[in-house]
Amino acid sequence: MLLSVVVLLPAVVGLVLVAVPRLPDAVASWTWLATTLVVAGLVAWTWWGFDPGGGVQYDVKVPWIPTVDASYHVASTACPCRCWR
Amino acid sequence: MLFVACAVWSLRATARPRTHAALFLLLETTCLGTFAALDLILFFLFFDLSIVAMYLVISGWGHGDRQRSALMFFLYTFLGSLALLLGIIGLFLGSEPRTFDIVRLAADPPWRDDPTTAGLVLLAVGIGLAVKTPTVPFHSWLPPAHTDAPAEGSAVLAGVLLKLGTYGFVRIAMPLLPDAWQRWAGVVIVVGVAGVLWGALVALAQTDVKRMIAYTSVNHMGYVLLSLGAVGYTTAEAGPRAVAATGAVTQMVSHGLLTGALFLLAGVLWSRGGTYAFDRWGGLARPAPVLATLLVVAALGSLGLPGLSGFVAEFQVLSGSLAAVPVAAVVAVLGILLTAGLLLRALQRLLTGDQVRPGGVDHVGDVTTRERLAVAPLLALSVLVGLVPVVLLGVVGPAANTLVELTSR
Repeated sequence: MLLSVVVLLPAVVGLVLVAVPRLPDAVASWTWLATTLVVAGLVAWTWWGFDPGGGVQYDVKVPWIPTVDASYHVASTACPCRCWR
Repeated sequence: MLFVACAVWSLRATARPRTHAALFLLLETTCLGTFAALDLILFFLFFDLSIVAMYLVISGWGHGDRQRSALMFFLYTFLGSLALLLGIIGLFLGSEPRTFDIVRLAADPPWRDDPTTAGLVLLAVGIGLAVKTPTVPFHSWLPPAHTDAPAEGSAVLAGVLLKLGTYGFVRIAMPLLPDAWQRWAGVVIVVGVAGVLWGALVALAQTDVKRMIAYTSVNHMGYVLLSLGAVGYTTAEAGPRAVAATGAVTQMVSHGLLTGALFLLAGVLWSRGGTYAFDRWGGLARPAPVLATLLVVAALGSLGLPGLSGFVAEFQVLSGSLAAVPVAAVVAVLGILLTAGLLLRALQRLLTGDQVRPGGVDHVGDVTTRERLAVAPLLALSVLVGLVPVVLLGVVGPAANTLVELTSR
């Protein structure tokens, strides 16, 4: 869940920035900065809470195109390959 | 981290800030998504969207011949991702039961009993990722894209987007096609060493600061490929190969921090005088001491001075590959010498000697607080990794061991 927020938050904020009419330019720039800071903070938090020996963490899997077993599957493995221990 | 730096960088001074901000946020999602994806199709989706976002950034906010560079970037990397898609479908067809899930594919690698098909699938995946990385001979889109992109665009392109390619090798190519990777490791190493030497030699000949940094990226990504190839040499002991794998990942992080900083600093030159040409600048250390200091730190880090992250990365890459492929590692050391020479020469031209300024510029301002806040954290992190590598290696190390195990099956 947390990881999905990390991944999708910037795009959502980006869409809002484009959609809101007559937004002052300064507000857009500062919102951008704030969003990146929040995301960086969340990444730091997942990094902190990550257990190097603990396998796949922050795992989310939602079926997407079930006929070919493609899914929305995100997880933190800190590094690839960690997940198959 | 790099995205924060770019946001700080662009706080003022950008045209159409709203769309600009939205695009960079979209770009951030695509990059984070690619790194977190555990499904091949999801990986491909984010991978592809990052190309679209970057194309818009270059064509919308770049300078020089930006439409042409952006189009070249788009066509080149899009062609690459089509090859990647082909490879992904190949992986899907080889799985039993059919799936796109990376975890399940890695547990039971496809095409184990059919080396020819596995080789072809690896070729498709490899070309797709090699274009993005980029490796020789697929690198020619990189210099124009970098030169004409805005500073913050170049920083993200070099710092994060290139890593999507190398990350793909570690995430997809090696664990999912271990047999094929072992069989073709020699080719990977040759391509890596070629990138190291070619990148360094061509960078040496550049007359433009940004193009030079772009070619050192080709050089640095060559080291990553060299060590990933060395991981595939099962004849060598597992220990050094794990060191090589750790080195590859550390190099990705280090290159992101240092080259991101270098591109932002090159952007300072552009904003002051509208040119990146070496012969139009000189003696900058006197009017802009802080800029000079930051440039020196970033360049020294990039050439692998101990105490900065570049050293930790390159030391592991070379000592790890030395055990598996001694000849290639020795040849790659030449690349380090060349890069050191060319970066020092660049510093000397830009910072020392008589003051030279582009026509019409009678005062060169030092870096502003905003620019300082954008670059300094990147360099600070690089120093942190350089002095206390455990922060990073504690997480990367165990993963590298797993990668070696998975690739040796």
